[in-house]
Parts: sequence; C-alpha cells; structure tokens
Amino acid sequence: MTDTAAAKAQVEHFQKTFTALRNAVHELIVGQHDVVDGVLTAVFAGGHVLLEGVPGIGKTMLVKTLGDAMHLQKGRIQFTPDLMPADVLGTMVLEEGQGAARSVRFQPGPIHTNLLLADEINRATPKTQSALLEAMQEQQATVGGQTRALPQPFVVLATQNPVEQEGTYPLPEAQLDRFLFKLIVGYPREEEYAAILQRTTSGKAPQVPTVASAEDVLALRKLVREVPVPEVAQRLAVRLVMATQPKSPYATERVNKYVHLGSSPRGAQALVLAGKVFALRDGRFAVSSEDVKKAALPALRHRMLLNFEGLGEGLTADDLVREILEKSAQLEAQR
Amino acid sequence: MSARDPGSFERLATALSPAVRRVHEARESVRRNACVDAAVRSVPRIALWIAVLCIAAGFLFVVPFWLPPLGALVLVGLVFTTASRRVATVASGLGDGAVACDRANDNHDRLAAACELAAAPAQAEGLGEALACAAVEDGVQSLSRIDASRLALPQANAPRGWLAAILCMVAITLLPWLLPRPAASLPEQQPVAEAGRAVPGTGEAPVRSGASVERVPTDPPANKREEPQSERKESGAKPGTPPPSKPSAPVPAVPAASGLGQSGSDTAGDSSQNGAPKAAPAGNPGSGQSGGGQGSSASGAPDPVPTPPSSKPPTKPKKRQAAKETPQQDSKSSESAGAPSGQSRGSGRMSAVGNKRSDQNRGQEREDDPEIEDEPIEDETDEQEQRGGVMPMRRGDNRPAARELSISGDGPPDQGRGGPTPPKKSRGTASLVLGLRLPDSVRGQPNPGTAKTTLEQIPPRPSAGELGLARAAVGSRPTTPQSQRSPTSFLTLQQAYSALLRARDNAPISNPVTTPVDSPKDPR
Repeated sequence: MTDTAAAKAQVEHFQKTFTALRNAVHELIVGQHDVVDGVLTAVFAGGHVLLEGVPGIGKTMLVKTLGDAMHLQKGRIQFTPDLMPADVLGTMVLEEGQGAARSVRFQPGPIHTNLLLADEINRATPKTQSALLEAMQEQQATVGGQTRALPQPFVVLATQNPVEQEGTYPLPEAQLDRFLFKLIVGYPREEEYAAILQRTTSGKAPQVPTVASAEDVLALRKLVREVPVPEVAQRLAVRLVMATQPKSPYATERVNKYVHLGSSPRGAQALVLAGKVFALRDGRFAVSSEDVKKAALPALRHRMLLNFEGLGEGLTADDLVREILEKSAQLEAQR
Repeated sequence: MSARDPGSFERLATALSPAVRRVHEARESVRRNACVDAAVRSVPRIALWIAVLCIAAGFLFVVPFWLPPLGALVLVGLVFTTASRRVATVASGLGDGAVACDRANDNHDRLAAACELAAAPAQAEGLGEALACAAVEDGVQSLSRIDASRLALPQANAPRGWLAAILCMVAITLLPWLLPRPAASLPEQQPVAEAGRAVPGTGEAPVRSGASVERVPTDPPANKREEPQSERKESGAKPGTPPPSKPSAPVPAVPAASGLGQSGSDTAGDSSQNGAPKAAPAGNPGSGQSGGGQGSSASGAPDPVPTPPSSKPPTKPKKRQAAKETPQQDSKSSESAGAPSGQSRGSGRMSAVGNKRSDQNRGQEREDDPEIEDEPIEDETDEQEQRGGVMPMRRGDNRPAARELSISGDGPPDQGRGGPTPPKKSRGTASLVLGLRLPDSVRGQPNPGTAKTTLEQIPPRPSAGELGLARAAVGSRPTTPQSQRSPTSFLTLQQAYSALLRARDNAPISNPVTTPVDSPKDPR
C-alpha cells in the first residue's frame, strides 16, 4: 500500500513538474501549446524533436527557454553546407606542453551538451547529418576511435525550414526515424500577436524561472518507463504503425497507393512512450487508447515516406495519418 | 503465479458481467449479420458462375432448370453454416466488456487496464509494480463514477442485397427458358434430333420437348435416325416404310463384325431400308467407311456423297464396347435385309449409295448435337486410319522457324525460306533505357537564369576596312628545278601569252560558220 501511495505521489510530482515547465516556457513563448507540450513530452520520454516551421515563429527561442527552465546546458549548431562532422562531434588537437612535451587532447564539439539546438539541420551535407546518428540513438559520440558518453539528459531539438529548399539536403530516413516527434510550428493566432509584441518590443525582457533540473528530468524519465501499458493500447499502437506500411493488412487504400515507406518499429515505441507521458501528465497510471491516438500524428508523420504519385497528388503524411486514425476508430466501433 | 489483486478482479468481474454479456450478444449479432450479409451478397455471384459454367459447358439445356439456383443456395448455405460456426466459437471476455464500458463513459481505458493488470501475475517490488497496483485501484474506483449500463456496442448492420439476390435467383431460374434454344434453328423435319436425347441404355423418354416427340410420326422416313431393333426387323423387308416414332439419342457406332467397316449401333436399323443391296457389292466387304451412328454402311462401295467435315463416326471407346455386345444382331439384321454377308451393316437409315438429303441432315444433326460436337482427337485419328494411315498432325500448323542465319535486318517479313529478314530489334543502349517514370531526386525549382545562348548561321562577309595587301611569303623553299628558274623569264612568257589572248579576243570574227571545228578557239 505504501508503494502505491509513493507511486501516486510520484505521478503527482510529474504532473506538477510538467505543468510548471509548461508555464515557464509560456512566460516567453506565446501560444504554440501543442508544440510546447510536444517538446516537453519528448524530453520526458527521452526522445528528440524535429521542429518544422517558417522563420520567425520562435523555434530557437523555444529551445533556449526550455533550457533555461530546466537548467540544462545548452548548445547550438548552425548547420551550413560546409559544416564538417568534426565541427559537431569534436576533434583531437595537438597541445604543446612544457618543454618538448606534446600531447593530443580531445576538443569536444557542441554536441556534448544537454540540450542541443540543431538549427536548420537540413542545410548540412548528409555526411555531417550522419554525425548525429550515433549521438541521437545511443547517446554517445565516437571521435578518434574513442567513444564518449554524452551528458544526460541529451535532447536534440532540430529545426528546419519547409520553404527554402534550395541548397538543402533532405534528412535521410534513418535520421528522421530517430526523432520521436516532428512538430509543425505554425503562425500564432490573432489574439496572441498582442502578447508577442508586448513581450518582445518592450525594454523589459521576461525572465524564465527554473523549475526543474537535469536530475529531476532523469528521475521522471525513469517513472515514465515504468508506466504499465494495457493490451488494448499496445495493440492499437501496433496496428497504427502497421497501417502506415503499404501492403499490410491494416493499411488503407490510399496508404497502399501513395506511401513508399511506412513507419518502423521505432514508431510504435514512440507511440507507447509518448502515451506513457500523456497518461502521467493526466494523472493516470496506465496508458489508454486515447493517449496512443493523441501521439499518432507527431510520432508517425515523419516516418511515412510518400511515393512520387503521392507527392504529385499533393498529399501529406498528416492526411494519411488522420485517415488511419479514422479507420481505426471505425474498426474499434465495429469490434 | 497468482493474480496480482484477486479481490479487485472479482469486484470488477462482478460489476462488468452484465456488460460482458451484452457485448457478447451484440458481437454475435454483428457477426451473424455479417455472415448473412456476405451470404446474400454472394448469391448473385455464385448463381452467375453456375449459369456461366452451364452455358460454357453446353449443358444449359441438359441440366434441369432448377439446378443453378439450387446450386447457388447450397453453396451459400455451406458458407453461411461455416461462418456461423466460427461466430459461435468466438467468445467475449471481461476485457471486452471493460473496453466497451470505458469507451461509452470516456474512462480512458481505466477499467480495461485494471482488469488486465489485476489478473496479471505480480512482479517484483518496484516502481512498475506500484504503478500497476495504482492502476488497478484507479480502475476499481472509476466504477463508482461511471454508468456500467452505458456501453459502446458495435452496431449491427442490416443485411442488404436481398432484393438483388432474389431477382438473381429468379433470373437464373428463368434463364434456360429465356435463352434461344438450339432447337429453334433446326428445320421442322428434325424434331427427333432435338428431342431425341434419351438416357443411353435406358431407352427413357427425352429430357424435355415432349411436343417434338409427338410430331415425330409426321416426319418423313429419311429424317429418322434410329429405330428400335424389333421394329427394324419388322420393317426391314419394307424399304421406305416410315419407322415408328421413337426418339433416341445418337447412338455410337459399332465396329463391324469383319473388323473393317464400321456400322451403327445395336439400336441402329438395318441397311436395307435405303437400298443397301445397291450400295454393297459382293467381294469387297467392309473396306469402306460407314456414315456413323445413324447407319449407312458403306461396305466397299465408294460413297458418292462426300461426307461433311463435321460428320465424324462416333467411335468413342465406351460406346464401342457397348456396341460389341450385339454384333450378331447387326449381322442378323443385315441378313434379314437381304444384303450380302459382310457387305452392309449399320443403322440402315443411310445407304452406301447415299441419300444426299439425309447426309446433309445428318451433318446438321451432328453439328447441333452437343454430345457429338466435343469428340476428341481420337475420332480424327480413327478417320485417318480408315483412309489408310495416320497423317501427320497439321492441327497446329504453325509457321516453321526461320532458317536464316545471316543478319540482314531490313526487308519484308521472312517466310521461313531464307532471304531477307524483318528489321532487327535494337539491342543497343536505347533498348536498355527503362520506360518507367522515375521521381526526381532533386527537390525545389531550378533557377531559370538570365542569359540565353542561340546559334545562328552568318555567311562570311568582307570587312568594311581596307583590303589587306598581299605579301610575299617569307621562308626557305626546297630546291627544285622550278625554284631555280628565273622568275623573270616566266613572267615575260606569261605576259606574252596574255597579250596573245587579248589580241585573239578582240579580233573580228569573219565567218563563224567557216571556222574549222578542230581549230581551237581558246588556246587554253
């Protein structure tokens, strides 16, 4: 009974921390509730986030604010075509000591941080982009034959601009799959513009309170991992992922026609992990089907690759994910 | 291992048992409706397939009219029975009732999770176990907040397509009567051919078209194909007597007793009716070919009437064996008809001399008779054996392979006899280019650019400036006789030659007619 009470207390602590972080970020960021919740969910689930949006809507500011609110070490890499992997991971430099003594020292790159902002990640060459693969999946970096663990928590928040496509290199599927969520950052609403102007054009800059630490984040991550997943939610996650794969028994007609590549099992992992965070955020102790459905759009949209016909038809992955969700709802109603 | 929380599980099971029962009933209803719906929808398809198969096999007018719809019903019943059994075996559990209750009450699967986690075995102490116990408690507590009678039950759709199924059954029932029958195209002189499809060996009445059978006595005797043997004996000595009407199926031929000729079956009449003695000269027994099951032994006598291509002797092995049982009856009938022994045996309706009209009728009957139409190739082989040997198979008369070994490439199509061959297909790089549209891997739009380059052909023109002066080439020349000659003498000679030409050109022409032809006008 004591354990149950402790678990309930931890869930309550999670709820409070999550809400406090959300409010702290909203001290500076106006609106974008879904984006802020999605980023916080990815942070507690141990995933990375790809933010896509036009310039000037606060992507970089969101990352900075989040780092300040969680008191995490922040790093930033502005991806350019001439960026090299050593500029990301770090390199070995030769140091001269006293006398004739020389030694090789590792100069860590900007990736050795807690919260990494990879700004305009699609402007770097695939060679440089691939330098992030090991870091994102295995939380470590290998330079000069030596593997170094990255500081925990390690979260990559990458941004990309959907408009300026000249001189960019689309992210490879292997790297897209490593992002837990892909969040679309849209324009603010009309009523939000006043608050934005007031906060950004006055001489008084708002202060972001620090409401959590790296240790808090790691402890809450452990709690997230322990949330039980009932069979009904797990089955739904599996079927949603399989429904994105062409020729699977759950695929819709348009998925079979327009999708070139469906989601990998990482998609199901993302659905379940995000569902766990959603359940804790709502004060529940187990994942529900609604949690999985809520995570479907940000977790699956970047894992579906449309074929040439689908792109020609002007379809997006969001359309197909919504169709899959509707079909799954119909199937559940018929069960 | 025991359940994590048996008490909570019992409580949940008790509270959700009505829901489980209702869910089970609803699901069973849905599945049964789905079975009925599928069965009803499959009726037109199955009936259509049966009708198509009947038509394709030519049995549409042989099978009873009630068979296609009955077959469709039987198949649909089988499908329905199988599906119903499967439906009955699917049971609903406590989790199904909990899920239905959660969805109806927007309970976020608390009951479902609680049922599952309460029934699951307990794990080691830890945060996960504590969270599972908390989830069970949360589910049990949610029972007080929700209305367990509200359930999200699956909606059973009423089966559709009854009208189409019934209409299709009616149509498939009436199909044999609606389709044009082959009998309508036959002349009225051959009702027996239409109606005479009796069960072989039983002598039963034909399947239908009894009216045609009644009209048989009015038919002329030449159109009769068969007679019962007893009646044959009676009428054998009376050629030209119309045989009594008995519709019968075309009977397969029986090998002649001598082993050479072929005659009709046991039911076939004697050959004396149509002048068999005239057609069967003695001393040449059985070397001819009979007309088939309809009689007409042609023992040794050449048939003046050419046999139609479709008139094949029905020499199916089964029918042969059946006919071998009564060779003596045939011989008796031949003898009774007054024909020489071994000369003429057969049904007796056709003579070796041949009745042209009956031959034509016979051919027509054979074309109309589905039982004879689908005779295999062995009939053709037998026919060839009668001619004296098996001919090479010319059925697949394909063009022989070209024997041209050279590569010419252009010319008319080859005939397999050498010579030019049709244009060769390209085997170069162009033939390897895929005809598939490949997506452009470069995203974005290319820059249209600001410069444009065009190519124009401009003829050379002299420049508007001063002409350049010719200058002597400077350089060493190889020593040749021409180079050693003084240029002055050559210049003098050339100037004299030019003066001579000018003088000649300026001289008046006295009489061009008298100008000798061989005199060169132009010294050049």
